[in-house]
Amino acid sequence: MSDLHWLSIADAGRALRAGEVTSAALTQATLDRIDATDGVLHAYAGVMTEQALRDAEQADAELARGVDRGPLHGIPVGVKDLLYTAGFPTEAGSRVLEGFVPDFDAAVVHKLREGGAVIAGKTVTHEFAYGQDVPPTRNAWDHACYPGGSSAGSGVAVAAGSAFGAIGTDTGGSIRAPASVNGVVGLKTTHGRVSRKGVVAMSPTLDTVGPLTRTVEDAALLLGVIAGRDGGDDVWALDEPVPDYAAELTGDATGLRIGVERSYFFYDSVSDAVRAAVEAAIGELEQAGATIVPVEIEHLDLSVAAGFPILVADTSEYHRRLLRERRDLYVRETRVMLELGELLPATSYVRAQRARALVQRSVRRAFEEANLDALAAPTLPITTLPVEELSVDLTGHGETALATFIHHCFLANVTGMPSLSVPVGFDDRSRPIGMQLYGRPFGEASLFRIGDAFQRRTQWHLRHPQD
Amino acid sequence: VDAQTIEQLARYVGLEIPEIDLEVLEPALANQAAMIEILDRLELDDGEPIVTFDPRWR
Repeated sequence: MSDLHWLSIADAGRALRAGEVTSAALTQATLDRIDATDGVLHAYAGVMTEQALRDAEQADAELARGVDRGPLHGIPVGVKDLLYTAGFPTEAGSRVLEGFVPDFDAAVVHKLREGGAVIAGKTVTHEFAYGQDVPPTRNAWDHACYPGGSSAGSGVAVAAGSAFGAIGTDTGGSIRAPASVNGVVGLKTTHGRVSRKGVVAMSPTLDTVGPLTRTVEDAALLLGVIAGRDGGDDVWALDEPVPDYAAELTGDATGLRIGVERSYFFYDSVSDAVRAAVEAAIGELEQAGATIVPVEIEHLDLSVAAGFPILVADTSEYHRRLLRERRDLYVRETRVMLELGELLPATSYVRAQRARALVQRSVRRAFEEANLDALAAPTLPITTLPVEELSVDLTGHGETALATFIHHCFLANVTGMPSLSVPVGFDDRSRPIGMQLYGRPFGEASLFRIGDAFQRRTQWHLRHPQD
Repeated sequence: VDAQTIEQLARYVGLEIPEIDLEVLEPALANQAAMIEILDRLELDDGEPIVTFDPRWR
């Protein structure tokens, strides 16, 4: 088989079980692909070459003995360098953690290993996932452009074929933004769906961990492996049953109701290309059997005002000691945000949590009154930009490109809802466009069903960037 | 919010802020205050803040 690195996880799994390919071959193809692309793309912070090859051999030996650990058995994946990996550096994109080698795996990494996955390496993140610095990673479709963030390396690795799937984290859009600008699938999970144990934190109530893949089916397979608690003492995830997400994919969206809130998500800053692609995708979903319901939802515009004080205060609390002991090792922009979080009054924090409850109630009411399964919107209002045109300013001044990203994505973190980003087209410069599907808490299965129905009717996800 | 206020607040929380950060922190903190003003204008008394407390021993 040629071009192994472009196989989906589902197809690679089928080929493995049919004896048409080995995990060793898939892993070698991934490592070769990293060699071929990472000099330019810089998706990886570290590659686990020897360990990956050993794990692949073990996966092959197990399959030969009839031991099948599930859909990720023998599949090479990347993991954001925010998740602890025992015996391998976890530096969170920062000099502050330079040389830090955890002595245990994050719950998600442990679940991946238990599921037979081969971890190819750690993918690049913005410093501590704050999105303030400019990492070396470049967009897979246009090497001069922004790769998204903070799960930049995960999005680029999946798009470039240097991972079959990857793990990212999302506190304000950090999975969906790189998914959108690199033309791949990214899922911000329901808060508590996936364990945050062993993940370098920003905010305990905004942080989530989730998959980036090339197909919705693959995201369903990956979530099925990483969802839920990692043992009874894991308090970093909620004790909710994990459905067989992939088994629920039917190929059509009949009976599903999808809301469209145009006043907030299709506002003036949405580019014509994004608007057209997402409207066309919504039309496609209607053709696939979904019922499209125009809705108006109050208080969406409070998402940023409510979420931002929580984000900065929580993150500063996590960094309190490090900021005092290793202040000069932070990138200045990250440090300023950490300083900012220390200066907010406690009353503002509680006020923000009250406003957050208001936003959550408002969204819940809209879902219940219109009996919605999902809400469709552009993942981002614009396509990616050349890196030098980006104003990296999360202090909220004016509406920078990054501020518009937060505008579209923060709602899922503020409310805890899941949101699935799916590629739905390209602009006239061949830069990818994403549509996100917000869902009910723990309603990932419905989002997968909608996204999968869309992908079975379209071919956007089958395009690959040129090297 | 001026640099002097920021330095006073920083002293209060035991933080030493480099001179180079002050010029960015000033507008950032002012912007935060503006966000909080938006929240202050809302009627929020009929809902609990999303800060959980569970008195059960686990």
